[in-house]
Amino acid sequence: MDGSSSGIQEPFDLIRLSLSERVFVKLRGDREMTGILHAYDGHMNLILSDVEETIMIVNEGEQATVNVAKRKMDMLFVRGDGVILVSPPSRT
Amino acid sequence: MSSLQGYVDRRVLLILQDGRAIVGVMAGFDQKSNVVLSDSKERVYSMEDGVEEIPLGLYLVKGDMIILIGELDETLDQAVDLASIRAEPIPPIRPFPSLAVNELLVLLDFPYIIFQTRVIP
Amino acid sequence: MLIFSVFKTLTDQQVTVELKNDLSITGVLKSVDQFLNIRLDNITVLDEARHPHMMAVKNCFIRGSVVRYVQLPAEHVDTQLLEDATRREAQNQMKR
Repeated sequence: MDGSSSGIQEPFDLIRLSLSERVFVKLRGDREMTGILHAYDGHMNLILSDVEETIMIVNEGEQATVNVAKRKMDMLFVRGDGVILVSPPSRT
Repeated sequence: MSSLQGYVDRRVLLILQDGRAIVGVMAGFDQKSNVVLSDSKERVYSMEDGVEEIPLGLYLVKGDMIILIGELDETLDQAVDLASIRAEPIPPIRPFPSLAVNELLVLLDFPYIIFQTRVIP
Repeated sequence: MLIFSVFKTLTDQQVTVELKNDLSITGVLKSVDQFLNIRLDNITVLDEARHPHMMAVKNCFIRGSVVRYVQLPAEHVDTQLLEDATRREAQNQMKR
């Protein structure tokens, strides 16, 4: 699938081609998640299913440690103003 | 905002961006969800003492500052003994941290994205 | 517009709104507007012992801009329909 046949012209096309695939989303507040992408809009509002969210809780101090919390959600709306990046599934 | 219409003349709880909780009777609102409260009081929560109510009187609250408006069930609310409640204040909404370096590091962690946008014809 | 429509189809369903101050509120979705401001009925706050501030609140209006997530009832979301609608909206954006 090259760019000309799939019609990639702008960044949002990369997200469009990830519809119904598992994507990685990085969010503000040291959060990230993966989920299957079902909808998005120009604000990067997203609707994902089968979501696993990871929250990094940084304990600052002499020896800074990071606690990681995970949780799962069936169907989730994510408000676009918290989205830093959306990455398509890795094709290895 | 039509969805605030139902709250006029009702006793409401406002939660603000900085975590403050204010109760009062909604006297009015406008399309920017600016709200006028009459007979309003701030409820100050702490772990050491019971809830303190500070009278504010007639108050205009800017819509941008409001995160939530809740209708109070007056019988339920009056049944609560505020002096016995110990709770942390509601957390404020953190302003977004500034970007730049942070964002750049994020991108470097995911070279896949940069590669993908380069192959665009 | 697309997301707004999705929320409209979910009126009268139970949702959980998570705010940017980490407060989670579950309730029945009564209405939504173009800013994604949300009205919930019959609400409960997650971990009410730690957050007694809203004990006497039965319904509320939440400003769209302070929402982080909304957990939706998966059985009431047609994912195929969503993807088709999203592709259509993306197409319309391109033509502009």
